[in-house]
Amino acid sequence: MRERVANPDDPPVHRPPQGREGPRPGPNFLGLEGRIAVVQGQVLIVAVIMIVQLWLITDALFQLLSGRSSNLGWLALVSGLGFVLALIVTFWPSRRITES
Amino acid sequence: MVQEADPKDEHEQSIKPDPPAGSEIKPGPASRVRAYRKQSREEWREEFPYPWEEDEIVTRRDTLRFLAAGSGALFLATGVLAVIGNLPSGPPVQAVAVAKVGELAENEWRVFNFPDQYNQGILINLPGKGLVAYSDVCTHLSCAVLYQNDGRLHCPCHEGLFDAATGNVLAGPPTRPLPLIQLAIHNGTIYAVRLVPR
Repeated sequence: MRERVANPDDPPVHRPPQGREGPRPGPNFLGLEGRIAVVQGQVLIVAVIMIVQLWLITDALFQLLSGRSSNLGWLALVSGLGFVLALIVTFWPSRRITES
Repeated sequence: MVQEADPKDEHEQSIKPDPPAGSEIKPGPASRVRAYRKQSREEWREEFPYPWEEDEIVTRRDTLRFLAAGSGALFLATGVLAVIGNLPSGPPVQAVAVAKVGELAENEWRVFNFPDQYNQGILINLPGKGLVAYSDVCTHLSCAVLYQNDGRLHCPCHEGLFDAATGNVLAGPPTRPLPLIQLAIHNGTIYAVRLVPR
């Protein structure tokens, strides 16, 4: 029986190279285009985290000025988690690229 | 900052050798348009010179570091707000006598100063529920709410309505319920003892 293909006119897609811990980045990920893509992805993710943090601080200010303080600690905690995530996203891929 | 093509290169590309002297070549309409565009472009550059040598290009990695630093600043600011919100407030509120037991008939209400002379609460004797008290400051824009005899509190400024039994919003622009005032009865006197923000 003939194998069904979703988009038969597309060029064949090669599987990414496999490493010990799973699929590895494509062959040109250390080239200029690959590094640009990685850094742009980092910028996008950290920007989204920052937008969430802006929302959190807006809500914290609203609650503080409304005389309510029960949720302020949780808002600060979530903002801290966002900051930790932003640090990981900022520094982790560069370490991986350097090691490889 | 957007990196633009170096105008020097563009200028050099647009320079072409002049026709030899004596040859009379009349410029066509297309060449006249090109010459006009070139002239206007050069005038624009003379009027608004750009110091390319002094420009600092912001790289993607600079943007990334700036965003990460901003994330840390936002975290610090949120933490400061949390600390300020949990600082111990001023001296403990003293109980304020607001009425005698049995003084208010059903659906009767009274306004009293609590917790200080600049803030007021409203005490209502609700049929079937008894005495309830709330801050009478509307949570929309801080007008004073008034009790209607149908079990609702009405804000006359923007037609906000609150349930007198719970303090919750029934209609209008307010989004938060009225702060509750806890009551205590001692020796036949009703005291307002604590304001509970909600």
